[in-house]
Amino acid sequence: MNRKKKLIRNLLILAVLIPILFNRMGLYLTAEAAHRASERSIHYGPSEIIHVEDFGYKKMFLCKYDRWISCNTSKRALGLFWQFGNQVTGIENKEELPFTFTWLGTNVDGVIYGIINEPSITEIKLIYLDATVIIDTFYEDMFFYRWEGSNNNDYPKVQGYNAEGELVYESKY
Amino acid sequence: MHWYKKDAFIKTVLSKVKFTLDREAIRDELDSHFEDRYHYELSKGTTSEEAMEKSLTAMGDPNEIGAELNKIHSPIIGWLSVITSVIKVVLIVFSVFAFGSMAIVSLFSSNGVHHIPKDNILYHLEINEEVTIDDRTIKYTDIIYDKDHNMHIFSRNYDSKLWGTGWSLGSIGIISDDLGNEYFSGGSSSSSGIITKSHRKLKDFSEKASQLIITYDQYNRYYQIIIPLGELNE
Repeated sequence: MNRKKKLIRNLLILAVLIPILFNRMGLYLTAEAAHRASERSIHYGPSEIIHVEDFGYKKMFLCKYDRWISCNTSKRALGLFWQFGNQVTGIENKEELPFTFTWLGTNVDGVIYGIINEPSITEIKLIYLDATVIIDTFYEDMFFYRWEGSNNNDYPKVQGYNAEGELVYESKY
Repeated sequence: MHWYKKDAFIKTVLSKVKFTLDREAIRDELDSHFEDRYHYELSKGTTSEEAMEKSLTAMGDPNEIGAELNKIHSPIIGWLSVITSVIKVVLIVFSVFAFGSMAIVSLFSSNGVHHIPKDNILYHLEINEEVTIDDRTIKYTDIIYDKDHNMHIFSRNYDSKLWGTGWSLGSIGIISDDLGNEYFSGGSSSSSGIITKSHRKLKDFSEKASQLIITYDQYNRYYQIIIPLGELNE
């Protein structure tokens, strides 16, 4: 076999092998592809991506799916690719409450995310033992806040305020 | 012997061939051609030196030969061929281990049916119920009810797109019976591999039940399997 034919044969074999191995190693070319495959694998979704937070080594997808909200993660792998992260499935939105939220925490970082059901709420406050965080940026009707490091189990009261600064609703998780 | 003239000839040819990995093979080829011609000239009765000169003349201009060989032995094609061959071998070996190990685990792992002592089995039903959720196919294969009132549910499942690399099937659903009882306590185990074999054990399953009902209802995915049990304590 001449060299050109050998090269073509090799390229054809690689064109078959590489996607198969990508699949076997759980590698994806984009973070969103990993997110979609992760949802389908765990039998959730497909969710609507409302917002993506990019932290370089991972991306977090703030999503809605029917009556659930979620914040899934895709992680960088081998520098160029992406793999499944954690927290694929969501929580059910309790529409009778002014807002629904949940938190996810590790020793590396933590996230609080939720959805506003009461349209008058324009600001969310997180009341920690020694700090207050104000969230006034919303992604459609969803909010998201991330902290780095462990928060030593100091999970905050979550308050919703209207434009007049009046407390609409307070929830302690 | 004036072999240095031959060596100089070949050296000039090879100096024009940029793809170094082919030079050894080209050297051997030129050597072979030269030897054939040299022995042919010798056989006609010429002297060794004359045979050498005639053979080198017959080979041609070394610069022209080298230039032509360089076109044939393109370094770009050459290096691409070498690199893709190496990558191909590495990936084939990796694939054999990656898929082979999973295939072996799938083939040889037990789903646990034979781990239930036969003298403790009151009822063993072989079933063939198959359901699909997204890309996952779940096949329920055996139901065993034992003398300790444990109900054992055996199943196999695989993901037709991810072949063992995705999330495992967390729960097969709510287990209940036709008397309205729901069962939660017990245990579960499963094997890994391309095909996952699972065993779900439920404690204190009613011996009066005549149906085992498995209901999966999560995130807008739903299935229900109803398995007639007959007389469990026959």
